[in-house]
Amino acid sequence: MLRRDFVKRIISIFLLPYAFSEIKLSKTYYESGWILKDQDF
Amino acid sequence: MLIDLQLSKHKTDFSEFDFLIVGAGVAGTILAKNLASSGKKIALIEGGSSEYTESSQNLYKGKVIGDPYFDLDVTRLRFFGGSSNHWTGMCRSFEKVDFERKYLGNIYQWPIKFNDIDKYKKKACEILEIPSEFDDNIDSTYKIKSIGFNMSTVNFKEKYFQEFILDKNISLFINANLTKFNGKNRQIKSINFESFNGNKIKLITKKVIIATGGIENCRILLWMDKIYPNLFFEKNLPIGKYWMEHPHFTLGKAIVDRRKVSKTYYSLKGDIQKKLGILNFGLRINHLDEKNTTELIRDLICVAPRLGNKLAKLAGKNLVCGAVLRAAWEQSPSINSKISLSKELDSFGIPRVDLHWKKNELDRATLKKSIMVFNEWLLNNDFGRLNLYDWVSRDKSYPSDDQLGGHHHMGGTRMHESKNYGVVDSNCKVYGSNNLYIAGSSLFTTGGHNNPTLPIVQLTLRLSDHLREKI
Repeated sequence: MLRRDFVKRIISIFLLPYAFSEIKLSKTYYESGWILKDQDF
Repeated sequence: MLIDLQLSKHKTDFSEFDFLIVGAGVAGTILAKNLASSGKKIALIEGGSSEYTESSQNLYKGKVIGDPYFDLDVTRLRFFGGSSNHWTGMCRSFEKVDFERKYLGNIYQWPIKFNDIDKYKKKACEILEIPSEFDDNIDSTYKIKSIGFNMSTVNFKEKYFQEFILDKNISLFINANLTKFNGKNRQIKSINFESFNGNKIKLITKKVIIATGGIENCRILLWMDKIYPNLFFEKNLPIGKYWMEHPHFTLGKAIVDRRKVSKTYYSLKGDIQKKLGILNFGLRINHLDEKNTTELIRDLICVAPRLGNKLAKLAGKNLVCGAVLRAAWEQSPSINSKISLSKELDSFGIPRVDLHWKKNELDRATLKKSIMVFNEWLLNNDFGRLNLYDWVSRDKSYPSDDQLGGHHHMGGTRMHESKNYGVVDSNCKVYGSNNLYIAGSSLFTTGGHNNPTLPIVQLTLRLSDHLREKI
């Protein structure tokens, strides 16, 4: 958990032009009513 | 002394009362008890009997217009003890943030401070026979907190009926329905009452308190305003307006980590409510049994096999379980949500009520934003996953076959520093009147998200302190 947060923070601070990566990392999916993360699949 | 007007064949003369309290529900009985204990001469008037009767309950019939709601003769009880004869006993008070709503506009602002009623919490809890400490768990790292309710088993009829009959300072009238106000120059001198079989009585008093519940308080004042315009209080007060409930709906299901989501009730912290520009919101998590949990996980496996299979293993170890998410939240005081007089009259010639209950955009925003904060808490910490019903996630209409409300009737004669937005001042006195007061949940400027009984008791204790000093 901590490591993932750290990676997200690094991405958002140092890789601003690649902000899409940040969005992808925390992307939320609505599937049949479920609110899920990309890691869940 | 007990006077059943239905049985009273002869006229009894009563000298002037210090206080005449109309309505013997939670607020009326507590007022009577407190004022009588300080030596005041009290007339406590109950329109119904000591038991449920059809003839009394019939007077509560009315029309529901607007959002679907309970029949008005089902959502309340008209006999001694009032709705405490069928309440669930759930108690929790207002929270500090409920008195800090200026960010939503002046209309939301109570004319009193949180401490003005919080100081009555301990005594109110003693009356309700519950602990005054509540099982709240506030973790500073999260935006939500778990909250506790205390359960009261007090029935106000059982608690006070016999005691009041023996109290030399209380004259308890039952089956006495108000039919006429007498007086002039913004001062009520006496009130006429009538039983269901036509017995009549006129009672003289120094001060009057209407404590007939969150719908009936509006009805009586609207009726007075109609037939005695400007005689007892100011014209053009917003009587019946800003009427509120606590919307109660099931939002969906969830699979949660039992160790992390172990409590039943959650709400958003005050500073988060302010930041999001929303009102108070209570979420109830009803844990499901093994069979229903298995079904829910099976549903999840169809969508997210990796997570679903992982959770299935954890469920086998009793570490995760399914849950139903139910919400009860604060409704904004809106001028479009109101009580008005019907054209139909009851058996005493008084107009019945039409209830126009209307939820608005802020009520919906409170629901949506709050459930998203809860979702964020589950998702980011891996405490669980939500499965929201379509009407919540796709912003469809509220379902009409859900619980709808909490039978909590609030506002309509609300307290506000401006008579444009309120009917009573900070001392519960009707604007422009010399001696007419209101008690009960119709006083609420805003409703919070918790059950109203404990705050009703607190406000009533505050009112009785004020009245004792004034006379």
